[in-house]
Amino acid sequence: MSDTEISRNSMPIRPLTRTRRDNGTVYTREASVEEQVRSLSQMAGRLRKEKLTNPAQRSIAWESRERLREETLVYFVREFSRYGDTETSWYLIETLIERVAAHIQRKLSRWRLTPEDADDCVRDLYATLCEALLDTSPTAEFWEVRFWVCLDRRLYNIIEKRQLTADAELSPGDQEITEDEEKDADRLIAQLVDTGAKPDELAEWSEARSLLSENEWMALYLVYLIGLPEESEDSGKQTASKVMGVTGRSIRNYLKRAKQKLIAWHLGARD
Amino acid sequence: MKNEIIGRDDEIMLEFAEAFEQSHTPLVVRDWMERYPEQARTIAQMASEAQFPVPSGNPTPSLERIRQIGLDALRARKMATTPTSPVLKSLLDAAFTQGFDAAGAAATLEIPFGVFVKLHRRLISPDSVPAAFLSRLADTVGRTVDDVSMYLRQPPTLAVGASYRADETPTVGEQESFAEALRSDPEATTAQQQRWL
Repeated sequence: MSDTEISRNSMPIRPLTRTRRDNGTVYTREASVEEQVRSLSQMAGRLRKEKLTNPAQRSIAWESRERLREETLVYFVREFSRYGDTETSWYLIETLIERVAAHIQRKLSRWRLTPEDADDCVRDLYATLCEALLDTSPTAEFWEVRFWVCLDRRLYNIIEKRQLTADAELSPGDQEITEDEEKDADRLIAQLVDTGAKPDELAEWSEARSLLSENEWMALYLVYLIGLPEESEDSGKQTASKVMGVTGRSIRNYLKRAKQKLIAWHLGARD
Repeated sequence: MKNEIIGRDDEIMLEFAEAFEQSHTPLVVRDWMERYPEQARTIAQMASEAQFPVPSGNPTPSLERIRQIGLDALRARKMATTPTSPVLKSLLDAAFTQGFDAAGAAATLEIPFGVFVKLHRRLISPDSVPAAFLSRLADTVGRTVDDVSMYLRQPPTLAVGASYRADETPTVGEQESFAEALRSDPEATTAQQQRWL
């Protein structure tokens, strides 16, 4: 800080520097984040610190107007770190760790991981998060633009690696599906494809989906909802097998198991 | 290089998230998966979660356990990055992180603004600074007495942004004592002088 800045009390706002690939403009923070950053930066230092380190921020409701956005917290983690106040920076990282815990738990619950694998995923994710939050390079600025997208991308990557290993050990369903059952399953899936379903139908689908493993669901989603072929001899063509990094046979096995489960669920629901 | 790849992956997902918010159609998902085959699975994952509610299913680690793992990761990171307290490089910056500008720090320390600036620029002889004041200064800027002491013992600095047009390298002159600085400062109040002299 120079002597000419001595009397200033507000924190200068650090602009983003990363430019978009499509039009060359600089990325921007969301308006509400920008507003929070501006307002906090203009406060007297003590008040700014009080607001940011208020313990209530760790469990504050999503809808609360007092809630500071995650992107805002990331911005100040880096600012305090830059000015040498590592204690405050660590404190804000702790706040983020608290905030994302429930989100991680919710996401993990959809995968069939062993408790040890789940623990490892959480460990890997938090290590990655801590590293990213203190990274001041332009590539890490995306965390200030869309925190949850950055977090989820890493979470998927970490979980998928473990899930693929676990799923490779699963044997395909050994129960054959009759022609009628296949038609029933296709009818059910056609309902799912109709995304204009009413809330109660969506709730039912949510229940059905919880019976499927993540890979079974993903195969179903790619083939029936996105419309990708299971596999193709044309190497340039996008297929479910390519997206999931498995053979076409594995895709068919995932789909077969998914259909068996959906039929069983549907019969149970009818009874 | 690794950072650049990570950044590029983030960038693709950010742009996809924007595009998908505009139009939740299979066409958009297919298009992005074709453009970025390496991120196709993540793209599909995000799209499916945005379209369909995510049910909770399997038992997972408790929230308490997840938090604990997070705090352990943070502790490991702290140990790896802060083996010792970082060197104090600027009294003004340190004061700033504690929520003070120079005037605010000076008021808290009960000294004139000019004396604080002299301390910042190390124009005051370190041995002349009273121990009680040193302790108060360390507390105000959030550092240890040793950190501040070490800072004051480094060579004096020139004012940042000053312009010099001399033929010889400029010097900052002799350091003065804390008492002299406090006595000679025109803004020093009697209360301040009585407090520290």
